[in-house]
Amino acid sequence: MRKSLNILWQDELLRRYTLKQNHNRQDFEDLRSADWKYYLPNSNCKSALVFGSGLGTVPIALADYYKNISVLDSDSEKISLLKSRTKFHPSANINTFLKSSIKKLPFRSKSFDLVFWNADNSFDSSLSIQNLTKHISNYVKDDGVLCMSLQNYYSLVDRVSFSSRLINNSSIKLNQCRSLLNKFSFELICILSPLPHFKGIPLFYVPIDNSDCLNYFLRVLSVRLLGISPELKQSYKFEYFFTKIIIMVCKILPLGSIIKYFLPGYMIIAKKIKNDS
Amino acid sequence: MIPEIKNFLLINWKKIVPDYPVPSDISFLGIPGAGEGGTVTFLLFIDSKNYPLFAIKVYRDNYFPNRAKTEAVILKRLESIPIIASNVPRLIYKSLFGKNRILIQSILDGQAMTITIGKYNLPPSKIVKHHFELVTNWLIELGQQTRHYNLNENYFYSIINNAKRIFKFSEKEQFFLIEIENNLKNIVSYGSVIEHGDFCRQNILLMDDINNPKINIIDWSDSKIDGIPISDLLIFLTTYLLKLRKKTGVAGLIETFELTFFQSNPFSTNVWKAINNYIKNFKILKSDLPFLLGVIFLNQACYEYSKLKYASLQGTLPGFTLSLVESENDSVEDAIKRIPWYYFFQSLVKQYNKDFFFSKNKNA
Repeated sequence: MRKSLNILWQDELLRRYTLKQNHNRQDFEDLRSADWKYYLPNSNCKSALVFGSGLGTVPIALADYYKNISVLDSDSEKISLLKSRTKFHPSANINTFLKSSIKKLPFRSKSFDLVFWNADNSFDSSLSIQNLTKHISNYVKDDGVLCMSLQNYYSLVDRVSFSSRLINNSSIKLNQCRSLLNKFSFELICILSPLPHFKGIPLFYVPIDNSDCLNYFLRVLSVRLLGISPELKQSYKFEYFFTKIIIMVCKILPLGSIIKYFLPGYMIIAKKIKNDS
Repeated sequence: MIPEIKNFLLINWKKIVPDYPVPSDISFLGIPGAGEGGTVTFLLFIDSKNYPLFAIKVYRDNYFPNRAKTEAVILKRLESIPIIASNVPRLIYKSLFGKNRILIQSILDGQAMTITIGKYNLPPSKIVKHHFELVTNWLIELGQQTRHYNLNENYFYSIINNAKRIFKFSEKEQFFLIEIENNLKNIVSYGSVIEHGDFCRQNILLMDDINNPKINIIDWSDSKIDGIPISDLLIFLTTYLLKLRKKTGVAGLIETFELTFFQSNPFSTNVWKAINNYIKNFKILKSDLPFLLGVIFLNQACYEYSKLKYASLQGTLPGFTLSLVESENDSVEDAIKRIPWYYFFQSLVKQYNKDFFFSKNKNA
């Protein structure tokens, strides 16, 4: 059975992290791995719900701001990894839940200030993006924030490297975002494209709903991406190579029509509109 | 934090940016930058403008609170020097948001200084010469405009003693440290200048107008009011080729350092021309140059170590250090001591002989 490059990479990271934990060695992350957190509000930070523990980066980064964090995952290995990682963050109040589905959860609706959907999860693969959003957005308080890390439906690289199951479950079309969020009473704060890859360590967060930002990135900033250290190039060989091609192609061809095929994923941040009823 | 900053800006827009009408929307393009830099920059776009209006620099944490304060003071100071002011960001606003200090700065024009590797694994001499001349002349101007005599021998002793506490030195290196101490009187006599602290290509924006080529300098997070003269030039020359090297890890760092300073090639010729030009202007004795370089490398190494030590206590490290943990099979405690500047110091001592420095400086 063909397993995607990206999943292999995630597995390898998980194996290494777990090995370190077994030897009681503290794991270390790149300082930049959670810089998306600056895009979230840092006031009214009481409770957060995270779908998908991943390697623990998201809940641990949120623990700097949120007093109580509930984390759900269907993988017991990832849950135990997070538990052991929180040992090194004694002030973090993180509760974990092993759940295979997001459909029936032990939480009241509108009970979290932040709900974070981490693309690195394997919940309910049969759910459409609409149904998935409907389920998770239910837990967001009025004026609370929904943050979803999703793959780009059109992304060529993900179509090559991910299995079709994951493409259907955790991906979205850019033009879908706004209407989808409006449907569930959210107003968009921003849609970011973390580059070179949303699952790696982003070197840029480009607000994709603003074409001026994207053009500026390609015209002026992209050259910085090519000037990274050889160590970083080696760590992200695949993403680096692919991003280099994106930049070259986008400089030659009209941007609007093709860019959607080259962005690996999005981070969508939206605020729930207060519902007086 | 961004939603709060956005609200704050919209409410206070007329006070902060009086030249522009209040925008209907604001977007923020995030640039995490190098991990060890300790800052994240957000470029701010308003309405349908196709260039950013200004940059918001967020200091990741409050462990080095003086960094933000010093940067603000230095930018204000540079703003008052007409010949320098247009080449550095203008400080628009500073504030504290939650735990994070932020500085709002103007945007400078120009493209990042890029270079490619050509024949014999070296960059094209013509471009190198052009870059080096622009940089050296600008640094000479900065030095002349900001020179003071505020450093004393104790400052240099503290660098050396701090380095001794952190790093291990061979017998030859210890002897070299004694030589530095013996020459401190001269080193102190060269005074102090405002130092950028991270004067590498990525922070230099090139405005290549044929009639009036110039450079703009961004990211003053590591700047110092009383820096050591020639420090910025040395950082620039040492790091010029570092990111283009093919070989990774410590071996790659040392190889590039030796190619830059100690091997005979067209690139190192340009390097020494730039150094000679600088020391001539500041009347630095050629016999003091190795000790000045040594103490600058140690100062950089200690500063980097303090940042890495703090980051490691928070459970995070820059990508480069993490890659060393893997490639050199280190413990994290050892890896945070594997600082490029420490290796450059070792390499300097290894290559050090007085005749070499005199021959390289015969035209000074």
